[in-house]
Amino acid sequence: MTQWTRWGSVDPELAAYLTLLEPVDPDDLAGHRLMQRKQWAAAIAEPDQRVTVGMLEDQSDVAAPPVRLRTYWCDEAGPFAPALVWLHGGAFAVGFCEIDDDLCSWLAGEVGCHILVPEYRLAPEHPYPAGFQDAYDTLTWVAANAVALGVDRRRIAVGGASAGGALAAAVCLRARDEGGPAIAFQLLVYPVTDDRLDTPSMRMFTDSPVFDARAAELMWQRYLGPARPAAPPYAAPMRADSLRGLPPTYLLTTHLDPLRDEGLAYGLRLIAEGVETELHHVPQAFHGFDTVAPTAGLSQRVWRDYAAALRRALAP
Amino acid sequence: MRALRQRLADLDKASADAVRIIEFFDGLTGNRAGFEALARAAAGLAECPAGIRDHTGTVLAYFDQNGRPVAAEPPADGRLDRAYGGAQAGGVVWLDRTGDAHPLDEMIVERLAVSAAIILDRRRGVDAGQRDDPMLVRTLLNPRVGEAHKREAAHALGLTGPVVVLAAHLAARQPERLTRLATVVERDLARPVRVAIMDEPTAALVVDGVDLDALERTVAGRLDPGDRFGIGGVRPVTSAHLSWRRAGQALRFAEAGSDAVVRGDRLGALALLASLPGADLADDADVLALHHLARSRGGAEVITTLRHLVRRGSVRKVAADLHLHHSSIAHRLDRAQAALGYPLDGPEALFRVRLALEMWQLARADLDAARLAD
Repeated sequence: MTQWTRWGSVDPELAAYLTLLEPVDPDDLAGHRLMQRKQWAAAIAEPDQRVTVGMLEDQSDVAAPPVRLRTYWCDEAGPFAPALVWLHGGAFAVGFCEIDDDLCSWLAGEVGCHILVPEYRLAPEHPYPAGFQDAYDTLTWVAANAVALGVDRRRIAVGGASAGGALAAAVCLRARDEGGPAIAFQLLVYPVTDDRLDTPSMRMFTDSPVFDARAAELMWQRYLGPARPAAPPYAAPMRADSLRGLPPTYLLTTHLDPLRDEGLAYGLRLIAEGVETELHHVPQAFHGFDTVAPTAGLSQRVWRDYAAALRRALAP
Repeated sequence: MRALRQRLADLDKASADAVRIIEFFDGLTGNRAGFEALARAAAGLAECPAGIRDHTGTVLAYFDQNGRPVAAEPPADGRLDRAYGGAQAGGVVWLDRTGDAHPLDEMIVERLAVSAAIILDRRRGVDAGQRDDPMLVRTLLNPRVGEAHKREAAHALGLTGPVVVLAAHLAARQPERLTRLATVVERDLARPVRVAIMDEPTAALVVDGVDLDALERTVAGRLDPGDRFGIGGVRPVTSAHLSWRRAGQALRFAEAGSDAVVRGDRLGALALLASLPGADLADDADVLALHHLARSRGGAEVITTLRHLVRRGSVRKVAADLHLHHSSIAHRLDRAQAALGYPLDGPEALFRVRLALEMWQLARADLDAARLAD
């Protein structure tokens, strides 16, 4: 029941929402950031009844976090609740910690976990490893302050979408490498994983909705610096020599997405290297489809699946 | 919800809003969305619950501003209604706006109605040059599909009343022949007919509320040599799959016997035989006896005589039917009794033979294939 667009077959509801997308000039970073802020401010998010949404400044009984934190406290969770450290998307260069309010407030209530989202530093003002360092510091801070935060130290998950997926995967790599905090689960949503940009999907999607090959090149230039050196593994997780010993994983890719093939390849590597991995590929969807159209049937289906996977992975 | 609101909030001119809303709904209908996707998207755009009813008032789709289905009955007031698709088989779309009206409400409900009409037309095949949507017919006839979906499919197909389903094996299996037949039946009976190829080569024709005698006459009058039809019983649209099942059973009798059109409602309990695999039917002493008899010299005449006997009940009437002396009939029945191994001397024996004849007919293909009789 779909038709082919110039990118391929798109779900009808998602196709409708595409008509509402504001065109973004990828070179106008300030304009893009301003637009995101304005759009977020114009929207009155209805928080989930079961969840208290705020900033960590609202709390005074814990040590100061490394960066500003958006918090989604699940009111129904007990004194030792599971937690998710969520890393927002935005090509390492845009986005902010409140931007996924819709997803995070719903997910916290649905899963019965607390969610913490750091305001990690953005490129190009702060290239790698600044953002990654903030993400990793947030994890160690949550683990160190688990009791005060009401978090069960053994049930901490890390997740992220797009560039946030790269940060999440890298946080898991470093925690493994350094014997850092135990991570129970990683949730990687259409993640960035590889700076080499030589997959068929990267060559194919030069003009796809929300994110395309040109935006990917620009993203790496900003994150790694104009000289664009080869990325270290904590910037591009696909560069890691081994993926053995990583936490159980849920990884999702979308069909109309230049990041499709690197995401799938990362998932297949995880499986081959012995990591318990659920690999979900969504046809008729584009990069970021669920944030463009959170009410669409396909978005709801995918969100319900995240919740189910998290509930299962974070069960006591 | 937010994505839409955000994007619309950025637009300053009302005319730009209108264009956006039109494009939004065009994006849905242009990609062949269904009623559910349409109502969900409208609810997201309007930031209030939105729904679609069919012509009977049944709710086809009803979603809240977060895109989640609403189970409750829609409220009676505070609602913005708009009719779509004409009085006959159209329906109503609505927004549940509580509190102040939004300036875009009128525009949204208008485009929602227009889009619902487009989807309805498309499902009826008006714009595609097709008669109808086989997917919807299959939905209607699927026993595992729930009532709500069946009702939606019937609505989209323009079927209102109780329906009769026909199962057909057409001598010429081109889809055009099926379409032609449906058009002719539709014209003769002045009732909507919807068709689909089900399990190749079986086709289904769904006829909206009609009496079975008229339907049987019409179909019998339009036969090509080799066509076979089974006619199901009259059922409400939400039980169309039961009519389809009975039609399939009747079709098996039509395939096996001499009548090209068999009415399922007249088969009674015999219809159940058609639900059994041929191999099971063949595994019976009476059936095997008849099969041997039919293949023996002069056996075909004996079988014909038996058929008349079980229907007419007396040797004299059979003799009259077949223009034979009753002693010739008696001679043939002697052969039958010898083959079957019991006397044909009363209603119980005749019933047993009648049943065996029906079973043998249904199992003949299996018997021939398996050479069980050899």
